[in-house]
Amino acid sequence: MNKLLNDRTSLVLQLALNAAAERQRVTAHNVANVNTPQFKRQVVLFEEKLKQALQEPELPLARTHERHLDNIPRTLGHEVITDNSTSMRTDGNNVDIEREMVLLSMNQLHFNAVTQALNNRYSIFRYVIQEGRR
Amino acid sequence: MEIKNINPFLPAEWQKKAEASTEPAAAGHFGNLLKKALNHVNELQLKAEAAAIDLALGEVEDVHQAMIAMEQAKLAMELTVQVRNKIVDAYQEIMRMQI
Amino acid sequence: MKMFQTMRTSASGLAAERLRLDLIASNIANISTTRTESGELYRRKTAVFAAELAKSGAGQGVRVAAIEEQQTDPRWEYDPTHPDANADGYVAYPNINLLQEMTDLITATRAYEANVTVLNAGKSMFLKALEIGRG
Repeated sequence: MNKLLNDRTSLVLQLALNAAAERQRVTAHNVANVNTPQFKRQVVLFEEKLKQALQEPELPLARTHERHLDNIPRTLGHEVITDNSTSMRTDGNNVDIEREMVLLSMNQLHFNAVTQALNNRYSIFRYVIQEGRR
Repeated sequence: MEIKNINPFLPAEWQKKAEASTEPAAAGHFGNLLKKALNHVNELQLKAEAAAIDLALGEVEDVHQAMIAMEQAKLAMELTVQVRNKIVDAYQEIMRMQI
Repeated sequence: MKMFQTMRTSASGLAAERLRLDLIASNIANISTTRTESGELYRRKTAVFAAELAKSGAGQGVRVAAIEEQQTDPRWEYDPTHPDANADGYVAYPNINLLQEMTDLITATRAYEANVTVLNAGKSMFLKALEIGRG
């Protein structure tokens, strides 16, 4: 039954939600530090990593920790890196507030869309389980 | 006796899985399958309960993970109950047959 | 509560920028204060921000590391009649440049508003996640 509920698509959706949640945290951190001298913004890497992983026929099943609520191998998930590029600012801070705002918006919409997709899957499961009744 | 076609409305791949598992070897085999399924449902229920407690304590880092855990437990339970219903229906159907 | 970390981070940004606004208000109000309660000349106050990090290195917002009083040269004006004039008849006025303060005010306000937007986005995502499984 685990394979039914945690098939490839569902796993990918859950990973996307995790990445989006982290991206929100990272954006919040960047924006809170928009005026901190020498601060370098952080970025969440996910889409490229996942794309590569999806080329494989089988998702790599590393051992997971029991305390994790999901069954997702941690090797597949997102990664937080620091963007050390320079900027025009004199205080060494490379946070561009407009860019962060746009990323924030995109991320929020993306999270909503993925949640919707996940809900649709669960609806379909439920529909099949109940044979179309109700 | 073998009980094939547990649910004619299940999608093809689930159907195949169900048929593949319910080999005509012995009734015991089916019993094991049911036991494994029930254990798994129980596991998911426990996970969901842990998620609920973590939620209450604020220990969850991402609320969507707790929601997913709870939803999966719910679905697993619904599926198991439906399967059980179908088996009971099939049994009653057989019992009603006039020989 | 770990699940509201993003909101705590935004809150730290709001608090830091708010403090900055308070300092700017104080600077502007005291632009002509030649003598404070301690008898000293009023000096321009600035906040020093630093990133707040968890033990794991994860970003948790910003904190005010220190409030500095800038020790740059004061603005001198010739006015022998002023009670705080020195021996040469010059009065020391605070090293506050109104234009600089206004610029900082705009920066701080923009940052404050941005933090509010981020906070709202985080809240909205949380509420959306609660809908998982609701058909």
